[in-house]
Amino acid sequence: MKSTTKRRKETTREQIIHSYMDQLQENGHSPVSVRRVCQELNISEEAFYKEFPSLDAVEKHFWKTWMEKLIKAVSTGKEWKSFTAKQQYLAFLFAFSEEGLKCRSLLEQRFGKITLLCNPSWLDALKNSFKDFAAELISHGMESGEIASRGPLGSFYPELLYIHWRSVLEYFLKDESQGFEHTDAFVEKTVEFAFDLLRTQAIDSATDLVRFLLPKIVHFGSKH
Amino acid sequence: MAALGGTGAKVGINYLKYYGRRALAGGSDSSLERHSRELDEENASAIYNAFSKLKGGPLKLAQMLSIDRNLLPRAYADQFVQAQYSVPPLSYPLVVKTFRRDFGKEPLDLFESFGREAAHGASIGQVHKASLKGKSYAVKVQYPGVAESLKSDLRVVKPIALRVLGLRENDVDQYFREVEARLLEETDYSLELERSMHLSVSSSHLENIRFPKYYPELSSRHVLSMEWIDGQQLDLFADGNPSQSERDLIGQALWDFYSHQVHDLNLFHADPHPGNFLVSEGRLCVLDFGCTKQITHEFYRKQFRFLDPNLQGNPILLEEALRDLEVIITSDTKKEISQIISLCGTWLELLGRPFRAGTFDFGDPGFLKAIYDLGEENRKADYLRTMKGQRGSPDTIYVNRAFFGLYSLLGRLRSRVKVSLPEWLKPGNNA
Repeated sequence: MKSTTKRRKETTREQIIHSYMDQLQENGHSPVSVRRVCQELNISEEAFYKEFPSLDAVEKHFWKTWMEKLIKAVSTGKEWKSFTAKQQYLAFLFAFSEEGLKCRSLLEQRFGKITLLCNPSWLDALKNSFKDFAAELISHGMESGEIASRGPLGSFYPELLYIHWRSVLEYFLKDESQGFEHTDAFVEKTVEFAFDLLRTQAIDSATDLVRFLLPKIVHFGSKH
Repeated sequence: MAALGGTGAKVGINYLKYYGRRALAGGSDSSLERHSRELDEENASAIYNAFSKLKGGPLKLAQMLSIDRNLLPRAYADQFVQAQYSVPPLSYPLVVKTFRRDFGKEPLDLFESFGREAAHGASIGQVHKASLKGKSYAVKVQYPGVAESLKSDLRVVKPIALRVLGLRENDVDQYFREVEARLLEETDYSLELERSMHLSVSSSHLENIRFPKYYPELSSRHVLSMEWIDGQQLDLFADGNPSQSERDLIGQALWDFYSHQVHDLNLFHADPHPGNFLVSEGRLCVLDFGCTKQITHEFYRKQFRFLDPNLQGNPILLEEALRDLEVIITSDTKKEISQIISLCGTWLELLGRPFRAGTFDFGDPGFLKAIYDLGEENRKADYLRTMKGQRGSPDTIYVNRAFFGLYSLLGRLRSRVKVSLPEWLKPGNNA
């Protein structure tokens, strides 16, 4: 994110993203207008709109790329292919908390103020990338029998993992332990629990019970 | 926290059951005794179940208390002893992360192969088997955040432990502080590496004992690499069917190792539970130097003066030695002094038996039982409970722990061991 280190000449697209993110971190809010970004970079508005349809799109793109880089880094690891779904997901989360150290202040600024279930538009593209990744991971887990297949219910799994990832992020931002080791412990424990739920029959029998009871409750309810 | 709260409730329920039964039993003594024992056992497993869900501090505390059977009712102790074998494993990706953080490399960058599943647990970490250039390694990896969570865990556990075990805070305050200090040391793998290397070099001349090689270049704050040794855990060896001469040989090696450390080095392995020892190719192998205790020479002399045969049956010398160690304090009344002297005299007679025998048979079941029984008796004795003030030095805790541990290991091994007094205490060598 820092623009101080020397690097190859950036493309206009990269320049725009950098300028946008710099201003965001500097001022505590996104740049007020396309014009402002263009002035900063000394480019024409036309050049901007060639790359992005709106200011919003810049940030969307930033977070999407950020997530995709993370996924790529972890999924090209030596042992990735031989990992179970649970190990893959853990590896992803640990890579995330490692990466998080590098941009903690930005994460704090962007995620610190929103609640777990709130999804501002700048997160849309990131969320889609994450869910694609999660879907792949889950089908890997289903093939190996690690995750119980529950028909249409299974399509909610990526969404659930996304919420879990957000909760890890939230925990990480509040963590004050040395080296953020408590986040690691949080990840271990919650993933262990989540995969227990995905694997065991507990949910299935609970659903079965509810399906059995629900009509009766409704029936009793209607009598009164 | 919730887990511990649950235990509080369970213990409460068990006591309720107990008092319910007592009402029914109509107060006949023998049935009371029986119910009380059953109760202790039920409570012990309730507490153990809760403790085993917690890693780090509480688990170590449970282990600590378990070895000092004098501090714990026997039923609690028996349950706690199990604690050392059951900890939930650390995931492989977290092991990778730990390596990346400490070495900037992944396990497979350092080793040719690295087991994803832990080969076995350690109290605050776990051991993976790895290999490099034809050699096998045991790589111990620490749970994340263990050092930090330890203190807070102990703070939570302490009042609960005090209450459920019926101990008084003042009496055990030093005890807890000493335990905390040792536990924090144990989370420092760099210190452990240093001490392991030091103790194994300075004990290498002893017979029938071996130490794994240590690899500083493959170790860090959270990772400790040593040579992998195949062997049988000491308790499995003891419970298998070794011949008497094998029992004697291993027992002797164990005894000599402790004698050398305590009397010559004043620095000793203070965690003598069976998981820390292997029997490999007919020799004793010492695995884990996580918990070591250094004592000053001055304290050593005061403490081991009690082995002096002249003290036996000589209350005046005994009183002097007890004052020296501050077991008897100035505010004690005459009555208290005589109670302490008679109690310590009994203990000395009992614990000093091996030293007087020349060759001592630890297989004698009467010996360990006498120690447990005396401990139980002390625990119940009202006069000990009402005695005020902190007595003795906290250093005594780990000396006791080492010797009680050693005695109980030797008892389990049923070894006959040649025992002699340290040089300076031999008759004619009065220091």
